[in-house]
Amino acid sequence: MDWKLLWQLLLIFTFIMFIVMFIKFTYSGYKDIKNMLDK
Amino acid sequence: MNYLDISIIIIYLTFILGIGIYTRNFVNDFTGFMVAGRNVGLSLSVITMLGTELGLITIMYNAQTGVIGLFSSFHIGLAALLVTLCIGLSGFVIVKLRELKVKSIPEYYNVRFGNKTRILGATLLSIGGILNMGLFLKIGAIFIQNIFGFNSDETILIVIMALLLLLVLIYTMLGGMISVIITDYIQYIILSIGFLLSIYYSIKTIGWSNIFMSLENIKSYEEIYNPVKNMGPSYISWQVVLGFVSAVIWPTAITRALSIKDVSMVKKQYIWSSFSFLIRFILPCFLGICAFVYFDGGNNVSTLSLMPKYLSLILPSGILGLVVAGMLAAFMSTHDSYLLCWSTIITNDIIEPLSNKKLSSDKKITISRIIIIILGIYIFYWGMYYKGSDAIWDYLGITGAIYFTGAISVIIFGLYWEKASSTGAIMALLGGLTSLVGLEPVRLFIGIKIDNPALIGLLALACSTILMICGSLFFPDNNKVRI
Repeated sequence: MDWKLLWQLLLIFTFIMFIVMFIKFTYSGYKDIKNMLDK
Repeated sequence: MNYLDISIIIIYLTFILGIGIYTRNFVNDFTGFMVAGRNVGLSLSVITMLGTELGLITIMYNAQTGVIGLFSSFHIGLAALLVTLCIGLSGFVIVKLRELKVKSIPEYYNVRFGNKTRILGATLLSIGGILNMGLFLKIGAIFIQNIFGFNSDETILIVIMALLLLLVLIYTMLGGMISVIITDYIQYIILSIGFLLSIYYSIKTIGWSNIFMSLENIKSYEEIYNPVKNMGPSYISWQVVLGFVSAVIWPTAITRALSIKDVSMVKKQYIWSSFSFLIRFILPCFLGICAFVYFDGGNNVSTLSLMPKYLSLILPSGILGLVVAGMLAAFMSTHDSYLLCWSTIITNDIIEPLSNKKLSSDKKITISRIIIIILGIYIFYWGMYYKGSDAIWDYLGITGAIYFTGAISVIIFGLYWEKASSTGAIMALLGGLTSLVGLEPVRLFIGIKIDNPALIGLLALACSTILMICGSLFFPDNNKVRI
């Protein structure tokens, strides 16, 4: 197994997931907070 | 660090304290204080789980793990991802716990095994958890000391610890879980931006290929990349256990599952959170590796101080202020979550059952707030006096093990094995105490020479499981509880 390649791919995957989650959850999380405080 | 950076930090902290005071109005009762009235949506739940788990402490110890283990330590993040993803896909443990509508793990012990198990479980949970967070304040202070470029004097460290503690205590006592959730959200945004910028400047400063080439000039390929040869199978197995514990057994994580609006969301929450667990490990670890490369192997600098020193040198003015503000917010977020978690568990699962009467919501909130102050004083003193030299990640693993090695078998067998009995549960919980031997000062006191405390954790886990099975078979309960 090429450990170096595995860790490089994992690192790039982590970067991508971090950006995807940041975009997705920042907006929907804000809506959740508004709903929670409105109740 | 110049005036611009310091202004950003002060404005941000004032803003976050204002939020804490504002959200105080939304805490109506103890359930609101403890699990935000079980009213948290999926997105917010995922964010707060990441917000809590991606604290300054996490960043510091994961960066330290990166400095020590280099890329081979990435297996810890991979294990956390795979374990949490499996839990999210299968709903193992989490769905059943959420269906029971309990507020905490000890409350589950009460439903399944009765009051004695609840009190013992909550006591061990509190001991393990409180010992676990004992070094948080000191680690936070080391970060501040290094990133501000203060003298590495012990007195300065103590002053920073006292100031940080004051800030955290004021904030945590004001709000409760609702303010924890809102801070987690804000902290998530600020920290994410700070993280993205730190990674961008790291790659820009050192160069993507140069990170790997420089490492290969300092260490061998196996030392950098191969976890099996570098850390050994027992260490890797222990990381799989820790991955499971971080996601399912550890109260600050499971509280998020118990706070979520409905059962159907729990699995989705864990699927998304599996990526959070990956992120929270890999990114700080990567920054630690970059710091190691930047300082040519980090000679003469402590492994814990390397990353903050590195950030203070590579980040431009203004961005450094934003990153430090994000890290401080992360520090507060972790502390308020943990302080709130332990104080409410002590109130709800030890003091109330022992008092043999139902305490009013107001009284429970008051008791929880008093406990928060006591815990604050404790972490201040523990930070000053504990002198262990284990890596922080290993310290956290072994102190947490006091609680979770017993809790794993009690929770799993309790949920999935009808014959699990209260005697078996008590024996398993007490069996978890054997992991105390893994703590460095205890190891030195007894005279055990072992380099890998993970082995002791695994043995304690095996011991607790055997005790749970034997105790349940030999001492069955008369009145079976079906879950």
